[in-house]
Amino acid sequence: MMKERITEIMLPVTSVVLLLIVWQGVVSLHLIDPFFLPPPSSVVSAAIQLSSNGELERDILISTERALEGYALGSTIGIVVGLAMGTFKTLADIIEPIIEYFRQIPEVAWIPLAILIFGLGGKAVLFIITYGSLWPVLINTYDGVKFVDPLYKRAALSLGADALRMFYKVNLKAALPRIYSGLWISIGIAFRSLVVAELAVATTGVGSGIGYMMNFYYNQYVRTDVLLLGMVILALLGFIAQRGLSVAMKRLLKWLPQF
Amino acid sequence: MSAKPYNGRQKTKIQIQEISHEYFDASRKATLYALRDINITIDEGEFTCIIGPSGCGKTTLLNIVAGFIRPTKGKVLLDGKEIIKPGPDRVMVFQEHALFPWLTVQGNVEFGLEMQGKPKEERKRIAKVFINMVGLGGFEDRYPFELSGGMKQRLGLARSLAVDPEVLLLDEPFASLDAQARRIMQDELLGILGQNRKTSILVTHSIDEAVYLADRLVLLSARPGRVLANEKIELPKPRSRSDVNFVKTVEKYDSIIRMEVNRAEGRNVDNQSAYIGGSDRLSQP
Repeated sequence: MMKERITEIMLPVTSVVLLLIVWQGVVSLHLIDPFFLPPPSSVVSAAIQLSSNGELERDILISTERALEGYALGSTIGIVVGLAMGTFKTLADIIEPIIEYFRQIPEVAWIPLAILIFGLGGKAVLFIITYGSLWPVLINTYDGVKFVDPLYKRAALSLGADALRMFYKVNLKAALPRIYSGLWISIGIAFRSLVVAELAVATTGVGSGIGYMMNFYYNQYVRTDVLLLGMVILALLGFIAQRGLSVAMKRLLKWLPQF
Repeated sequence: MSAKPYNGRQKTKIQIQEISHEYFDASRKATLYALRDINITIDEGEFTCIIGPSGCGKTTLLNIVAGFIRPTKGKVLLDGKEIIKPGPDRVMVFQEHALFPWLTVQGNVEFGLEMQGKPKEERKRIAKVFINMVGLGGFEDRYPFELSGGMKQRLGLARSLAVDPEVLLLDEPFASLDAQARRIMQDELLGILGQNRKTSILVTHSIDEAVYLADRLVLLSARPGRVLANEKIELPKPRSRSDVNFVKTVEKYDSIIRMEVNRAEGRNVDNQSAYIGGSDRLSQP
């Protein structure tokens, strides 16, 4: 048992460490120009440099806030609308064609328009993230409620459930695994659309956050190591966020065999 | 432990009156009769088993009594009142048990009690009684996915009995169990109900099971289901499968059903009476 736990943790850790060694080695041995692929060492030194005046921390905070805000907003809208659609068929019939159309538009396509509408800066980025997070949650929530096994409904009716309690004690609970799927997908999208939106806004010369940091230091000083730093941080943030979601939902979903 | 004889007058519990049910079969583009002119009277405390060849409509009939389906003709009365929708006075135990996977054993059993508005302490108390009654004591905090097939069926039973229904409906509840577990569950069911004498209707494919359990046996014909037989089984309980009368009864119904199936399959060549509307030339399978 103990041995399993150790291997469980050691394996991924070992592979990451190996990757870092190879990466560092490849550059240190001059097989690749450090300009094009900054080694871990320069990523770390860039991090130290940029945190000396609190700049790095501030950008991380701003970006994280945006991503989480947009995610929360998008997910909430998605869940509310998804639940409503799954419960009221007429509503679903009305909204579904609109969804089918809008979900095809990737969130990044909205960037120019978003900047026009919301101006330069945080609001536009927030809009993009919200938009991107919305659709997977909405569609999965809707499907989750729509496809609740009718057997559960029959069992509940037989046991005396009324419409309201059928909704939040049966439909909602039964739909949770699908809702979770939507939330899981969306959190990844939130962090991905974050950087794209920030980079796009940053090209205008104004902005904040990690994307802006990356763009600024590249434009001004051609700092590829800062580019890589930004990528590493974003990957880490996304990873932590997904882990956080999984832990948070664990309590609600412990009745599933896979948990 | 022999069966208690009925004493005095037998109160009529359920009246199935002139039930006919049509449905639209999309694959044949015709309206079919599932059931025709079903009339059955069930007394209080009677354990009724409904058997018949596949497709005879026995599950449809049970669903009508449960209130899940409104029959196209006729009505069902419970204590004189017409049944129009499902409710805890006629709880169903499903073949696929339909347990709520997000609730523990305790939660599932308490569900119906919660719907009745019972306070928390009382719910826990009542649920505990039934959990122990079906032999799931100690498993209160387990989730359905952790239970075996037999245990799931017991949970389904406990959940339904906890609301103290007027009538217990069982739709092939033991069909998914292996032969051994099935026999055990049959005895357990009798044991549990023996204390309550609850009016029950059980639908099954197994003639053996029906004769073993039933106070009243109803046999439906092949589609459209008509009542071919409706008789009381007066063998004392618990019944012995080697008892000569038991064997005779099983044989009797077995041969009736065989004849019925043959007749129905032979009849399929020009099956006019089963259909209303639709094409007059049927395609052979």
